[in-house]
Amino acid sequence: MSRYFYYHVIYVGLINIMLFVPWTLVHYRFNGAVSGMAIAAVAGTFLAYLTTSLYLRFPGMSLPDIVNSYLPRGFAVFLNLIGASLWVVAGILVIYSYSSTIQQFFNPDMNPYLFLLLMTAAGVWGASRSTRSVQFAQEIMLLISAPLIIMILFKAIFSPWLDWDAIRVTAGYVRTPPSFISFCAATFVFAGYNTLAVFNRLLPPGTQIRHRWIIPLVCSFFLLVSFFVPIGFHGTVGVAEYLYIWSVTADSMIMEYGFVYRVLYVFLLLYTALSLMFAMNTWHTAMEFIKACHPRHKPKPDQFPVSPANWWINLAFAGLTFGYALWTNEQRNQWVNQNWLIARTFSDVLAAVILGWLAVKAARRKRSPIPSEAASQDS
Amino acid sequence: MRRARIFFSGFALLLIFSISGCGFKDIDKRFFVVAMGIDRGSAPSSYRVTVRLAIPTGNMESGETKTEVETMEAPSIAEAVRQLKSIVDKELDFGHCRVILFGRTLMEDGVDDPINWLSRRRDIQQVAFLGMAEPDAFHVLKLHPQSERYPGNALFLSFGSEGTESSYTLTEYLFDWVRRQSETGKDGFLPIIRTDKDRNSYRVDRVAFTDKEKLRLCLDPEESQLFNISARRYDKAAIAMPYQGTRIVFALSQVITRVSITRDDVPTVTFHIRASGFLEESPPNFMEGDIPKIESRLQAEVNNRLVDLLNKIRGAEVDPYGFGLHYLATYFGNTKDWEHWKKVYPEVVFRVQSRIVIEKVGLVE
Amino acid sequence: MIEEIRSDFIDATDLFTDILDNGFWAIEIAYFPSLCDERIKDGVLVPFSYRFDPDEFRRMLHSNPKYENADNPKEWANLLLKGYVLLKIEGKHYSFKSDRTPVTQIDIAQVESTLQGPQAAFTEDLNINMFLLRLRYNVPSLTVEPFDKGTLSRTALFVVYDHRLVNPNILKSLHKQLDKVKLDLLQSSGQMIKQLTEKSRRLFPTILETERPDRVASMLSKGKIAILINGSRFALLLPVRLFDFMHAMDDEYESFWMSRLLSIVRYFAVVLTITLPALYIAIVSYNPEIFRVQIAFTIDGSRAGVPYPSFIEVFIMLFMIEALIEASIRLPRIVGSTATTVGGLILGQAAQQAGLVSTIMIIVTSVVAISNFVIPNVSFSQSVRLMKYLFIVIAMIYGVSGVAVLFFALIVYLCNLRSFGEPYFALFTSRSKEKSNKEKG
Repeated sequence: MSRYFYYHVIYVGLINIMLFVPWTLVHYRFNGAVSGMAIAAVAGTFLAYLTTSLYLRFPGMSLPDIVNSYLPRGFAVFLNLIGASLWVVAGILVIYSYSSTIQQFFNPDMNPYLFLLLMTAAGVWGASRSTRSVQFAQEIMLLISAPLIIMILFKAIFSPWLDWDAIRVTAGYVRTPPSFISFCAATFVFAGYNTLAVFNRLLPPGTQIRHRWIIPLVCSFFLLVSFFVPIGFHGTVGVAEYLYIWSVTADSMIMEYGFVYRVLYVFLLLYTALSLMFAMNTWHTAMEFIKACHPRHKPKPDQFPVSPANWWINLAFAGLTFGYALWTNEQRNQWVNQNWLIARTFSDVLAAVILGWLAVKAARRKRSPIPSEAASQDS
Repeated sequence: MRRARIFFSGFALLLIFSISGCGFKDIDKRFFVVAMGIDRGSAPSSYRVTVRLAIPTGNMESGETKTEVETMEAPSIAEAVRQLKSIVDKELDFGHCRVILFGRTLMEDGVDDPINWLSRRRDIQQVAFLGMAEPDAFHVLKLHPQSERYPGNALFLSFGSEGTESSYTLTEYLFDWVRRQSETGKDGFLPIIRTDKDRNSYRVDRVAFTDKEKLRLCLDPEESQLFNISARRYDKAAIAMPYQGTRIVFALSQVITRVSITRDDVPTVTFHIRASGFLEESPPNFMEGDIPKIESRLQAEVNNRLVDLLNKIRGAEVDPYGFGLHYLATYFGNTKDWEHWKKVYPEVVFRVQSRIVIEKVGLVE
Repeated sequence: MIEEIRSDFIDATDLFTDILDNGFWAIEIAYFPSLCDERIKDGVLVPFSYRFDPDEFRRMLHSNPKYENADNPKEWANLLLKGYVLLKIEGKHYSFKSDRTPVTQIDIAQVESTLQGPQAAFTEDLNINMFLLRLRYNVPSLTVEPFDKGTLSRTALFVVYDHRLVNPNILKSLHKQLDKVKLDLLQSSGQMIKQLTEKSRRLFPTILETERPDRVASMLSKGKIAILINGSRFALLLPVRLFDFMHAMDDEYESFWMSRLLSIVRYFAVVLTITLPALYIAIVSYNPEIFRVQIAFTIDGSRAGVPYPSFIEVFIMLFMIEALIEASIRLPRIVGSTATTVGGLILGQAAQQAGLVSTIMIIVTSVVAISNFVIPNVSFSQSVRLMKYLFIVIAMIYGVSGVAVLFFALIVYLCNLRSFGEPYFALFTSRSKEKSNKEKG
């Protein structure tokens, strides 16, 4: 069952492109991006190991369940709302930036809100499903799209037009002191483990997550590729001129014998799947956080048909997306993106700390004669 | 309840259909631009934009395609394209524009504005072929070769590697050229395309070098081929030289190059090139014992020619090989190293170490 | 007895009632000759008439399993309608089972034909179907639960499963669903499917209909439940997954690589038949730059004479092909071939030459139609047929990206479906049965 965990790791590693992670890193390429990435790789791996181990100590419980059952109610609700807002924003950012990418490259004449409507509708539809359905859909979408995406990545790496000199020059700036924002951006690539916050409910008790060395290996690969390949294609200087770095990079490749000539279109279609998956997951997680605020909440990971509350919560998220789209522009969007990346890093550390504290608390409680085990089994 | 639902869905459907239509434009209402040329206009600081439009026909047989060439002059490219739209009956679509040509006079003046326009337009592919047209883009685009199977196909094929694979033809994509325009220590090159009036075809056998602003140097076909071999490791080429009264032609099958640069005050650039291949034409009484001799003769020949070429390029103060970038990459240089390199580049010493391996002697002894 | 029955069936002139008197006894008899077969002669008339012996006759009444006591007058009408003969002998009431089974021959599979597999198919008779099933899956643990459904038709049905393998939760929920069945006439398995599905407006079938006993047998061995309905050629199987609908029985009989190749072809065909018309619209009207230059020019050239937008063209062609399919189902077999020939000619040549549709569109239409028939299951193939219209609508509004988004939504929809609590579309869930047992049980 732990394979579902790795699906999350992989798609979160791949989606970084839509959250302006390469853009942020490229911006700081001469001022500490590379060193920030190096530190992030270590920190991200450490956090991933730590957090997953902590979740496994609470079998079958999501983060809201854990918080609800060990902390006073007011504090638990507060934490859940923080979690929900962070997750919602992630989905909103990806949906917004993806629909504006698509609008740029596919349908330049279309009203941007019209495409946003389609994306949010698909996001609401996906996220309002039950947790188990979300997991199934995710597996299928990932197995369809990931091989092709990884093929494109390898095509880029082995392209004769990739300038290794430019990559080497940029890599030389590892000696500059790391910049904080690029550290935060780079840790995002490793953040796939966070989805255990809800999907831990579906891991049957006694599951072990084996082969955890996959996380540093795969995520570092994604991080390096998403930063260095655009530099290799657009030069150390030219790369900073593009906003949608990866779309332009994908457009720099051709498939001479393919049905589709320009890699860009394949890339964008595959990222449709990934972005929607990400939105589905984040909104679903946020929805579960919000539902857990209700005093008589009982987690139902395999509910069919789903409760109307799912719909209403997700429709509210969709409304927020439209609000965001109305308010934002390119500068504001990048500002929000960067601050979200920073906030996310802090919340990750916070989550690990809280989990660690509660794990200690739970272990103590277990030793004491009060049978608290029953309560946690119920939820 | 039920009636409300039907009403609601009907309303939603109506809404959707009324929104539809933005961007909806059938393929037969579009004019595909297959190639585009930008020249200097007759008035100062104006541009002349030429587009070659495809007119598809039901059945496509060789030479039956129809294309239309439209040209327009305006103070800026965007305006020229706008005005072009007014003289054609369908919407211009740049989605399939795979060749972009700059006229020679424009290149001599600098191409900042066109590049700016090209990278702003989302519908222009980053993998469009770039070239410099001689004497100007309009005349090249007006040519209509007999062999064209679908509109513009001859032009695409002569640049790309799907069709003819000529060692004289360099391929340059838009994204590569744009990056070379801004990259530190690497300058752009463009293949030169000319019309061959009597044979009714294109001729792409020379290469032009630009610095960050404008055209600096054009090579002749032989030098272009050598540049293609050494810079792009193009291995479907041949090196010819006179030998004992006849001419031998060495056809390459694999080229490996490596550049090493010393970190002296005036750096020495050593260009290692290892080429293996076979003799396509060899002396009639060719003996096996001659192979090492031929190899060393070929090596000397390559060394001389390449050093000449490198010196010529350095003399024009361009760096299409990217030695500067490689220098920075080797020593993880920063701005200071770059300043140093810029200062000493006109004096750097080039050395070429070639290694020629003759694998087979063709099919006959 | 006769008066009571007559008062129930006032206008039923085909009811036969009489008092038979052989000199020793007089018995009352009532039955529907149309519902009963010749067994009356051997079971009732011969022993009663010229071979009559009161002791032997009494013994026969008690020992022959076809005779049963029928002392409850409320059941009489029901028994008569089921093909029983009612008798009143020495003041006691008996029923004699003599229902006529119209079809006795085993049919060959028509809807799900195979090349080299077994050719037998279910018939419309429950007992023969049970025989066909027992022929292939005959183990002591095979459980058969009889039910009667339909307030008017009182159709008999069997719920069949292997009690060692079946998931008790699913069985429980099936019983719950069966209790909820509200039907007047149960005449076909399709009605039963609608009744058993929790939400009847599903886009995809979650219960498999099959006419092949070998498929039922192989599904039973996987722990699934079969429902056989009297008077229906089709058995129902549940719970099923999407892959079961895409699985032809040939896959189990062909060689390994061939069957893998064929199933890949089948899935590819499904994707094609769903998305191709939509992609045509998207490519023609929104994003002609996606495919290679040649394709764009070919489409452009062939569309040159078409006077209306791409989606109208698509609707015209799809309407024609749907009409053709409908016509060839309804038409008698002899005329059917004429219809297809005429239709094919019109679709193939004339429409294109008249400039109504483009050549590419004709290819698209035929690919869509052919791909649709590759799907082994009829109801699934119909669902897929419907899906393509959704894709066409989205392509009209959003182009290629809309198609991609809708494809995602479709996959989510399929993953969201449950067939009796079991996931409908999920990969590698061989262990899910144990898991759901643990969770719920």
